[in-house]
Amino acid sequence: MEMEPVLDSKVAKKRLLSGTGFVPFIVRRLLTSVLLVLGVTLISFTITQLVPGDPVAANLGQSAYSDPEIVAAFEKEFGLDQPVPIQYFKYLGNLLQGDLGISLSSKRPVIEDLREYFPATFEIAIVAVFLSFFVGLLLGIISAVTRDRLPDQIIRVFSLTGVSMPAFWTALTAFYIFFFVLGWAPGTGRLEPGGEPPPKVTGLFTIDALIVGDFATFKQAFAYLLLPAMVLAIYAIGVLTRFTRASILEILGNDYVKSARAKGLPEYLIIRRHVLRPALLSIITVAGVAFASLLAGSVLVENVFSWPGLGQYAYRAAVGLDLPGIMGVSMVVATVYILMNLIVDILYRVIDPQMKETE
Amino acid sequence: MKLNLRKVACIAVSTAVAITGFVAAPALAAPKNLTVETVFQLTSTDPARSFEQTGNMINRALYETLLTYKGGDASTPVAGIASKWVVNADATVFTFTLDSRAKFANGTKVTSADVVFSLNRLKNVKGNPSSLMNGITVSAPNASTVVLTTEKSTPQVLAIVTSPALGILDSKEVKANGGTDAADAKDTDKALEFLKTKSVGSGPYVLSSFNLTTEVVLNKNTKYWGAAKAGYDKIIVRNVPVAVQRLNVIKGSSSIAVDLSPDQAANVGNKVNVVTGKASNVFFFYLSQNATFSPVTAFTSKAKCIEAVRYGINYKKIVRYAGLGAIQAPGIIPSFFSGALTQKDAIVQDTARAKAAFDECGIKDTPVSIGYWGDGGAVNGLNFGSLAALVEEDLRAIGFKPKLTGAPIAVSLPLYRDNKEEMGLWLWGPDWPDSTNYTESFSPGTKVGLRMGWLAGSDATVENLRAKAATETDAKKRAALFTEWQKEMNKRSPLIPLVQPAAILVANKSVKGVQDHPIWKVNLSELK
Repeated sequence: MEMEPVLDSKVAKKRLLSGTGFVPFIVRRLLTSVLLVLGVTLISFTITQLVPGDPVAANLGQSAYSDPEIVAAFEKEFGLDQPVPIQYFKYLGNLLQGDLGISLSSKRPVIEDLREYFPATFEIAIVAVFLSFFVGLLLGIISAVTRDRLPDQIIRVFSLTGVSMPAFWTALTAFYIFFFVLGWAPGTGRLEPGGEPPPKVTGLFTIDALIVGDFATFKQAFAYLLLPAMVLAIYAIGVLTRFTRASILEILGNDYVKSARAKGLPEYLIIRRHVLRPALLSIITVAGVAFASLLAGSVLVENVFSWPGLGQYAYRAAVGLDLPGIMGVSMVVATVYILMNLIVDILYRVIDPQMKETE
Repeated sequence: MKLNLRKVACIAVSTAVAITGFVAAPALAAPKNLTVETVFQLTSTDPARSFEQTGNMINRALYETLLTYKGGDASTPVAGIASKWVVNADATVFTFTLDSRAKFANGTKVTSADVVFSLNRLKNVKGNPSSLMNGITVSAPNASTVVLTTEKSTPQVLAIVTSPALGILDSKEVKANGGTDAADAKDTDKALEFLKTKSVGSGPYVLSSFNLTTEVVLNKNTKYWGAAKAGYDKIIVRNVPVAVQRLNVIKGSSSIAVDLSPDQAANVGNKVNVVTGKASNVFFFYLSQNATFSPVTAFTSKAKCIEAVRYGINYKKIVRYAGLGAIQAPGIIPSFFSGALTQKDAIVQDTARAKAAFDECGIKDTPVSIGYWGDGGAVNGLNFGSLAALVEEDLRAIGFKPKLTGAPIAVSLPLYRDNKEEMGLWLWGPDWPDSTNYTESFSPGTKVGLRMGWLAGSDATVENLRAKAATETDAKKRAALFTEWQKEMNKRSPLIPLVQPAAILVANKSVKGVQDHPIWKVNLSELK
């Protein structure tokens, strides 16, 4: 009877780490991601320490700052009385237990702050992602197939404007036009003043409202997030439109596309079957970066629309030299970018199964 | 290729119409609600830890104090939780009799034990406002009497007790939720998070919800004991950028915009009122005095250099820049406090005198740096960077070689506080509404004096006046001492008062009783 070889644990581990399959690929990426995140903590911590500011002065009033007892109490509460290397290693030690420290400004665990602020950014970013992907892709395709004609010219001006306009200006202008002049959009915030948020399940007001069947709150929450999401999407739409156009134009020039046309295939089928899929590889790369930046939060857009997301939290942390807050945001942003890169790489393998990762 | 653009256009238009129809703008707030928009300066709604403008505004509506002020007044305290008070001859013993009707929002009677607990907790948690209780001891001889004692004459106690930081909490509820007034409260008090979810005061409003970056909602206290009931069912205080505040108040989406500058308040239309009061913030310019405190040249300690700056600044230009309602600050004490100087006492620019003094000063081409709050910092509509540029222009005209060195607040503020600035442009808002806050903070050897390197013993006249003002109990004599102190400061001190801007509130005409207050900004509890 033939015995199946029992895999030695070392061999299994070696295959898991060095194999060319999907699982080894994921494992390797996750391991390198952990190292990346640790590197981010070190860089964030070092840079924040190098800033010539004093978090005690930034967070205490004039009279309090002059009182040595109050200053000592503040420093002790936030570990600022320790040497800098000790502060960092203490932070790492706590990090391994899921403790991101206490925010100097909110005076509560950073992890709780992030749990509160990240869903707001995620909610607005998801809508912005969908908008920018579909609109950007659609406009890019139209622009490519109508090359040098009027639709192409208009779309190119639109996309250039989208990537050129400063976000703060766009946000203020959009708010002025759509809220103040036209009255089409509601005001700032996630709900109307004093509005009761739905019971928290995900932190996304729209989803949480749907979960409990509160359609009035869903409608209101969606209304409030639409304009800031659109403003946030403008830059990504501009970028995606341009890259989609460029990718599709490159592929449209290939011989096999000309052959398909010569055979009499309808244009939409040529685009869908022969052009879009190969073009997606480069589009997805750009889309991944653009989407990660959306998820990381936009300080300026959130500020204008009083959107209580990660961007606003990051701004408060930076201005107040809230080191735990800054580190927490850095961790989230780094994780978002790492995850997005991982998703892009997975999508590569799905779109082009012939791709193999080289050793 | 002929892509069917018509189909695409139809789809796009239909989608846009669907979305527009789906997201019709919601109705404006109901009339019983009041929406106040401001840029949050807020850390919590725990009176013992909150000492910022927004926190003061909210806490005053939630927590009552022993005494308070009416409307925009900051000079004559009136009854709060205490219905009567007596001060002994040398202002060291302050006896307050609690109003027998005073009750917390949960119906519990306010007792002296609650007052003692609240004030001791404030002192011992060592939070931002804890220094208000420095030198003050609180005791309760019986359930309706509270006694505050100080070792030395401290007439300003009557002003200090009006601060929202000295708001009275229900001691039982606070203790039940981790609060303590023990000596080690800075380590053992755990009531901060609880007080962000629920208020335990006796004010006309109670806390409904708290969010540090979006809004704080106050509900009417239906069991309020006082005669002046809450004017609104709900007050929503929202965190909104200044530019958006203007649009919202004009459109009617909000009731009060707190932070508009004079320029922004102009042309707001006739549906809103522009309430103008004198801001309590006084902007001042100073020269660092002591080279041993910081690596600066010693020139700034020379009297002639100070004289050159004092008479070289174009004060009228600065007042014009500050806009509607601003006045030149004749002294460091704001116009509505006891002993404030009048406009006839204000320093007048004298360019010839300034140039002559500069020549004697001996700096010649040595560059001098001017520190200030950069990155767009502004208060009452005055941008520090723009103000610094105006001062720089004036100093350059008389011979100085100034260099602007503004930096973000987290960087520039420590430099200022640690006496590491050569020259500086800053402001002062009072910790408590009494002129002693200025004599005790700006004289030689005091808090701000030391930031300017102005050591104790540098000016005997000013220091003597400060000492007398600190212990004088007669109101008229106090006022005279404050006036004299400022006049002497204007002659020799390294500090030059510049401008007192206006405090602008823009309010919907339906809101009655809106007044700006130097400590809590908007008198929420009195609005109808």
